[in-house]
Amino acid sequence: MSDDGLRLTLRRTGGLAGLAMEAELDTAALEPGDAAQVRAAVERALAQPPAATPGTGADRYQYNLIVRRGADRHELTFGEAAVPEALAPLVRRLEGLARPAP
Amino acid sequence: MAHRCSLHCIAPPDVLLRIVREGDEAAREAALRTLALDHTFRQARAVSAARTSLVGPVARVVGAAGGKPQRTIYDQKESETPTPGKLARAEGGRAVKDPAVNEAYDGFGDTYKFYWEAMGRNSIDDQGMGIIGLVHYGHAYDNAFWDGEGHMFFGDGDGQIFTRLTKSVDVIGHELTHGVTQYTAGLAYQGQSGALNESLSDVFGSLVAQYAKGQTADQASWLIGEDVVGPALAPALRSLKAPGTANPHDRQPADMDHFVVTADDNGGVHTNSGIPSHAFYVAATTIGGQAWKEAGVLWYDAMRDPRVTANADFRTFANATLRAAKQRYGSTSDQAHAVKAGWDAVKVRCTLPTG
Repeated sequence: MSDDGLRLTLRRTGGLAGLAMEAELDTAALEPGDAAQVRAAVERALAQPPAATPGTGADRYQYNLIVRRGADRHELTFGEAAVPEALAPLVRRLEGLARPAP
Repeated sequence: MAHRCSLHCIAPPDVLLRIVREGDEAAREAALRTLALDHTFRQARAVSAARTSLVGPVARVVGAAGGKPQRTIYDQKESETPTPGKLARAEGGRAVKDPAVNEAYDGFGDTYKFYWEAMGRNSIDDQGMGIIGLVHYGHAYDNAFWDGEGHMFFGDGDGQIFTRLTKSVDVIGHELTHGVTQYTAGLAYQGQSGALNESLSDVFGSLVAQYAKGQTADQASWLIGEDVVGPALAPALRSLKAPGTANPHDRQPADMDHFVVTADDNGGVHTNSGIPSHAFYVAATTIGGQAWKEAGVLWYDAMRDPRVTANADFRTFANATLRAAKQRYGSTSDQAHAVKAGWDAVKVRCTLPTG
């Protein structure tokens, strides 16, 4: 991956409240070491995108992660019970920043 | 064939149980026979539902006569482990220090009692299935969910969106009803069938609370989650009376003209549920009295209607409630007209069967 920054948007929908939450993160704004870790995690997840299998149960979260790098755009969709292992810490971090979507 | 009566019997099990407790010898005998037969039929129905379900039965109490829940509460100690953590309280066990454990135990008790006494259903699968709650799930976790495998999970909330989710009996009733839906209509969690699935959880969650409080339809708040929302979602999660008005983020439509098409939340299952939920509210308040006695029973009939299958849409479900109203009360009854008025109010086209 190039040194270009990644712009990430996490959208979490569903859950008992059905409340859409969003958070953004630009790796260009992070410390170099932190940015490299985030890029590596996203890279691993993009190399092995999660299967879009419907989850079981009800009131679970649904996640959409949009990854932008220059003109490239990738989107990953996964359920709460199938968060890619590489992304779990990043998802948690972005959830901590998330606000209700307009 | 008199015993066939037990399938669509006018006397609900709570009345029969009262006769067993208080009636004279002959009435007691008759009531016990009916209850036993009714149990057999309900067991057969649940077995067939379980066969078509995605998951197998969990902790089934084979041969139990019903009337008593089998509750187990586990403490997840803020972990997100999807399997039960430390045993915190089992059926019959004394109250513990942790309020979340006791709230889950008591809320399951209220929900079991509602389904048994008002609907004649013996737990989630109608065969006395164990009711399992996992509390303190995750750190500041803003959610409660049913995992599809017999477990209900409750977070503690972050204090902003939610507070401790076990505090709300309608939320507990909501989650347990997801299990009931899985073992009856098996509504797929996507689009209209998913919104129906959500609506049934709000309708029966609200009825569990109304039953526990002894409220009539006009006394009830018809709100979901009043007791557990934080300041961001105050004053409530959803309103069956006035969808779209429960909190500043509430986008629920109240009729088909405003149906929301979205990729979010499995096709907006928590959004479009406002449509069938409001139909229930209109039907129940038009009938009047205690909402579980007539409107609730008709909705429960529709959940078990063989024509209501996994991908049922609003219209299919509406027609099932009208067939139920015709069967129980007649096609020209006030109840049938009230149910039709409910679906008319939300602009779901359906037909009241005649004859």
